Amino acid sequence: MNGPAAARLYDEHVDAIYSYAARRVGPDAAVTVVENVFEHALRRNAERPAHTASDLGWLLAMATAFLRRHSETECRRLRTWEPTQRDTSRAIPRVSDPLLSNDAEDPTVTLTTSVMAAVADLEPVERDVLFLVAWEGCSSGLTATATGLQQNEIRPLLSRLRKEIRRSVATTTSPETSIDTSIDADATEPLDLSDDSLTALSWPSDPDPDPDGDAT
Amino acid sequence: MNPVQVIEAARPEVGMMPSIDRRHLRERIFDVAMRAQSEHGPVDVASPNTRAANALRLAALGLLGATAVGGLLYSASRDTPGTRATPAPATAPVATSPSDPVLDTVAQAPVPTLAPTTTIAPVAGSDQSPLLLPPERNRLDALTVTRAQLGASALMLRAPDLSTISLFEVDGLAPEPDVVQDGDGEQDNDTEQDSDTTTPPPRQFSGIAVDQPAEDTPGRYRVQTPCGTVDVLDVAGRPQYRAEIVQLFDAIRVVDGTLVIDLPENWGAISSGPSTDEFIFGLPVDIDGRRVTITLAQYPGGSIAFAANDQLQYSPATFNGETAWLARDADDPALFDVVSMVGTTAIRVTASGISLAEAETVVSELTPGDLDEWTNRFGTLPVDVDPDIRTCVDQPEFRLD
Repeated sequence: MNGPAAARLYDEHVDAIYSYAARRVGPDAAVTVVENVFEHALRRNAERPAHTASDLGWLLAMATAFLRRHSETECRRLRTWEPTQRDTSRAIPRVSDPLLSNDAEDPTVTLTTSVMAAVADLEPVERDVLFLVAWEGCSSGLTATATGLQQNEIRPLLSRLRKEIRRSVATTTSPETSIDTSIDADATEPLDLSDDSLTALSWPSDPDPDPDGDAT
Repeated sequence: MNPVQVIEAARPEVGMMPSIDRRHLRERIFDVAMRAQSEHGPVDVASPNTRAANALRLAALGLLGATAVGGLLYSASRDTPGTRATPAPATAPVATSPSDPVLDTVAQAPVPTLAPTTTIAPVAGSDQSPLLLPPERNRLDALTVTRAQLGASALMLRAPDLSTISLFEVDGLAPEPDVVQDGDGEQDNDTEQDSDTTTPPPRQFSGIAVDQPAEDTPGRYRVQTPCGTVDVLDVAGRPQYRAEIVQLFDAIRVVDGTLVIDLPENWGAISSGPSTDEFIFGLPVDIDGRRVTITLAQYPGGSIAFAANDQLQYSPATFNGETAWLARDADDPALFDVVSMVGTTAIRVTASGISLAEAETVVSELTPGDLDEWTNRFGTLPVDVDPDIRTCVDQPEFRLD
């Protein structure tokens, strides 16, 4: 890959890779991940698996692998999840009058915190699938490419994860939290799992293990 | 709400990657790609190491071996005493099945050509490589590109007292007449000076009228012209309308917008040239264990006059063997600006706390490059060039008589 082609690849995908990494491990570590991904992409371009159909899938696969080095950071963020991490600039302003507020914890916040803590206890590849689908909106094919799983494994895995998280949350939250514990909830999952002729990428769990990283 | 929907709802909104990181990384990526290309040459990524490809390679090796053995046997059978047979070229067709690929196993001598066989190194400041780019993976402190101003040009003069004076003209509209408030609150367009305003009247010379320098811009004179603007820049601390400035203004007349300058005796024109695009980067370098930032401004196709268009006092110098003009800050002598030419590109180097020789070394180690390399490394150029508003006929320009 020559210089201009590398620059084009970077310009086209740097935002997507950075956003993916920043959502999971924060902005500082995300810059490191982006750097790792693109340098690795250029050095290993000749070894790129022929069946990685899209550049984005290939780069997401590397980003997912490099994010493993920051698993500790990610899990710490998930276990200490702060609702302020979400940009609420477009949300309806919350009432700030102290007379109108109460001291009770917001059940939605409590639920989210419990779910995130449960996600932190999942296997890394399970977190990868969850975040690629839920946060990045990846199709099953792209998720498979990015995680090295088979495409037909994604949907069953998601279904299993939903149940597992429900069980985990049920043991830690009060009954008034509104998580749907019915099995039928799986059928209403609004994810787009229909598309894609992409096939799975067999990508190593870490393309270039870094002894200095904070991977667990 | 199921857990995936909870996670979806908690999706953090992250901003863009910080621009300095984004830019620095882009430079590194480009650098890695260029290094890989120069070290290893182009890589055929369309030929994966598959079993089929390996079979083809084995077949080709087999054919080569069979051809070599056949050639040796053939040449041995043709040997006669007293003669040394030259091995016949192995052009005999090798029996292949119809499905086998046809392989050319004959080593062909290169066809004579007049084309150059060596790569010509890019020349700094040439038409092909007008820019200088940092060779290493440095994090640049500053990076700006400013497009040329339409119809602008600069002229740099040297007075008999060896002071330098810069002139700069920009095309534009006709100057608006002064707007004066009448007592009844209506506005009158009146070129006469109103008694309430503090702006002094323009000073008349033999061929031109000159606005007085404003209090906040001492040493900056504006010559009145039918269209656009013409500024004459003297060093800020010098007396207003000093003798050399008066001598210069007396030597200028405006003819249909053109400033005709009949240079007096002992005056010299150092340089002149049009406005060109300006490329600036600040390069941090380590010199004797100290981190110093050298700012390099480049003007492809530009001139010393345009690169040194300011109110500094320049003295002649040399920079990497080229004629240069050096200005040292009166308050901070360690800070200097040096303006010179690299081929057809004017450069301006600004640094503090290093010697001119050290600045020469840094600049000489920069890599020649073209506009494409700049945009590949640092991103696209700004496209917002000034709109052409030159409806006024008598646009200013300089002419030395």
